[in-house]
Amino acid sequence: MSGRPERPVRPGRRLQVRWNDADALGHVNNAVYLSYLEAARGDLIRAALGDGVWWDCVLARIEIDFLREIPISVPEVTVRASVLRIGTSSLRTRDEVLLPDGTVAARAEAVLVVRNRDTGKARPLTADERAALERYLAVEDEPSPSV
Amino acid sequence: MTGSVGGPRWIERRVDLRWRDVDALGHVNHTIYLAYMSEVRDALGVAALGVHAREQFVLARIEVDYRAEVELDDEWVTARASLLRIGTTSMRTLEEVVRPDGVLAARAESVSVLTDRATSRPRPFTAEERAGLEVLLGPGAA
Repeated sequence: MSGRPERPVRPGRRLQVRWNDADALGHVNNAVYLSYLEAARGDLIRAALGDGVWWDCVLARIEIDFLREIPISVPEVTVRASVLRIGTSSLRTRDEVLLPDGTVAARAEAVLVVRNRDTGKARPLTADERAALERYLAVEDEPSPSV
Repeated sequence: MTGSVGGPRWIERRVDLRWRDVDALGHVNHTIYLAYMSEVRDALGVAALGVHAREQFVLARIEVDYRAEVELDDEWVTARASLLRIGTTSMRTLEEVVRPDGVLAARAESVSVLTDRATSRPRPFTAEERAGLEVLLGPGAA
């Protein structure tokens, strides 16, 4: 991802941690991290391409490193996402969940495929969409936000 | 792949779908696939180590490929897991979610770390635990 132009760091957004997010170990269950990460991707895609396109995005693959437990006593986390690579009909994003002190609790890379709503088949991104996504390309070694 | 020579040695569980598993797109939400996989990874851990595995394995990494949608009409899925590799403090497993019609809905590889719950630190498998895991290694596993 080197060689990208400098981009402003976006602050992400806060998400409440719910009691129901915890499992028997007293921490946020691994599957719930995916809901947190999805909220970040939703913000990203809606900001770049609008709500309609978000509905047409399907998750094809995700790789997640669970770096820290999130104890259920944590009231909220911060989530953020940026674009790593723009393909023909797909894009790769980097999604993160951060603890209140700025520690990264999970980092993921996701591949989203954009579908044609009528056919359900993948469709190419338009030139306008590609240009819009480029504004959200990731910054290398993005520092933690101060929230 | 089940039963094929050199293929994975699967531990399987049938998981019934719930109304709440389905999102606004009318299919099982992607996060729920991980819940299905957890069911069978838990079964694998318990089969190898006993019930204490439940409170000591923590998921450190997972890579999921989503292959097909699951809908409420499918009613249930088969989740299956196979042990790929045993590390010092962790294990790597393969998980699959298969629809009743036999279509592979998702495949994942994950790394689970054995932790001391008092310190949340990884701890090495004991010799007994390692022996329990080795029983589950498929013929094709490392």
